[in-house]
Amino acid sequence: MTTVLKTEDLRREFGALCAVDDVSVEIDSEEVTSIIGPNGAGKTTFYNLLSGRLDPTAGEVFLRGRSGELENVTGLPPHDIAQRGLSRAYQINNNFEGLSVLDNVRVARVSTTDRSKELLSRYHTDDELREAAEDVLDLTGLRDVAETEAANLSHGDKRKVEIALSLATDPAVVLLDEPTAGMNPSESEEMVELIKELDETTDTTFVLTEHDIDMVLEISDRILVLHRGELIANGTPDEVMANEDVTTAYLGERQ
Amino acid sequence: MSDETILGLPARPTALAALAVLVVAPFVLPTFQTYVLSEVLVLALFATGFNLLYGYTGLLSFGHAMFFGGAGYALGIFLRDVAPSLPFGGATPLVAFAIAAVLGVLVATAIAIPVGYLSVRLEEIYFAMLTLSFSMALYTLVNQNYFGVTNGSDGILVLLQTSNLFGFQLSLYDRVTYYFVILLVVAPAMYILWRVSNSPFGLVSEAIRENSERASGLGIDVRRHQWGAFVLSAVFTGIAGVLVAPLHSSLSPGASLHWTISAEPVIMTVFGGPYSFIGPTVGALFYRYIRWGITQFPLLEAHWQLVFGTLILVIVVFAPRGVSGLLKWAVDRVRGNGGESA
Repeated sequence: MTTVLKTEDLRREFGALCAVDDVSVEIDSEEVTSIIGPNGAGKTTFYNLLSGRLDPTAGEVFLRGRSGELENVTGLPPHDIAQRGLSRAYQINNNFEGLSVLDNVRVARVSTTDRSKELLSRYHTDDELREAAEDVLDLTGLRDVAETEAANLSHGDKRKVEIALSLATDPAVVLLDEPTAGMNPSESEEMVELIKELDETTDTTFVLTEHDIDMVLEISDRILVLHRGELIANGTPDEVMANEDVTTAYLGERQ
Repeated sequence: MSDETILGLPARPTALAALAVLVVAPFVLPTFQTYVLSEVLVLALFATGFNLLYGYTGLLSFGHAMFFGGAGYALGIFLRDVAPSLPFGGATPLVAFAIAAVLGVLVATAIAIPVGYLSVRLEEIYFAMLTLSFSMALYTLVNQNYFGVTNGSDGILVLLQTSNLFGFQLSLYDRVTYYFVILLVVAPAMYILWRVSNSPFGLVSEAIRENSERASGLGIDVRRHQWGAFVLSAVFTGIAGVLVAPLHSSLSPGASLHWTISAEPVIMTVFGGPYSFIGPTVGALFYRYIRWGITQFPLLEAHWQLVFGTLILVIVVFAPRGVSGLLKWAVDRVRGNGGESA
């Protein structure tokens, strides 16, 4: 087991509300980990703390990224954490709408390298960049729409662009935020297959939040349950489903 | 902007054809028209440099006059106060002009580094207001003759002298000669801007324009990148500024540093189309020639802002990609590329 992402007593308060309450977890590179919890459980805040969008009130975040060492990344700006190998795909479609799908991925390819500062080389005629981008498009099944402006894609394809952008940075960890949000059942199934396939074919560790419990059970090796900011369960799908605290949190107290 | 094209035509032959026309033009055109074309070239560089920041990076500066006029003033003051004592014999006027031009661009860059650093901390209208404030501060300092060398609201004269190069007389102030000086600087400057806009740096700039938060999530240091684009934009604006001062033979706060000068590249760019490289150039061309066309009719000339404003309104409402978008659409139609709507 190799820990790629770790939090120690991670805490975030908004005034009197404690959105993330002393959460300590270790994420293993061998596992697909899902974070679940009812609405308002603190999943999004937790992601924002991991990716540097929010600074924690207390506690620390460690990442084993490109350097191979477990580094303390607490309080670093988002671009710095991304540079170190943590990438995030959003719940809402959050791509570069005016650019083609290929250019979206090209941006992601150059963004974690010094190439983003190159002023006089031409990206159009850079075969290496094109091939690297096309590899990502092949992985995510977007090759056919490479030249399409991202704004004109179907919802399912926009979700795939989210994942393609995250993958193109060659990250150690990808945080997926509700990858099947707003999808119809067949699109959801396709997405599940895609994530499974990517987990097998790449070195990237996937962490996801999801509302669809069936999907979570199908895809996860480990499930973390957040409730009112607290981590109330951490185990295999079977263990978590058998946990009384979890049923109580989701369904309320048994009378 | 997925391929290297100009208005839907292959970039290289189109650019070379345009260059050929520009080289021949002053031999065909009357002197006044050569002067107008000189202005078009300078304005095209001004607007394209501005658009590196606006169309490409998504930051609307309302203070580019500070680089345009700042560079011009540095050149003008150097030519007035330092040039006469330079020891280059007959070549002094030419050497002095070259040094003054480099100095002007350096001054624009020196202004842009701190101003850009502070301005990119804000976005959208706040960014625009901040750049406007810095620019008006410089306007006021120059207008009040705070530095003691700008001659206040009267401004200064920028006169080029005749050089004597081994018996050969070179008068930079000659309309045709100075046209070629401008072309000699503007053509490579535009080429460099073109390369920048097609570079990974330019692509990342576009990504920042589209979605700066996502860009930072992918590892881009957005503020640093915007700062870089800001300074680069100012450098090219400065180059346009040092070229225009001798063309107009004078500098004054009202004609070089006022906020209305900052509005010029905004208008040209919106008119021509901000989301393509060539848009601001097309805008500059139309801006200058429509302005000239209006002067031919005294009634229109008396209300030229009204005429011009109406034209801009029509373009903004009916062709959001500007005149260059319309032209590209027309080219695509003619070439049978199908073509998206303008």
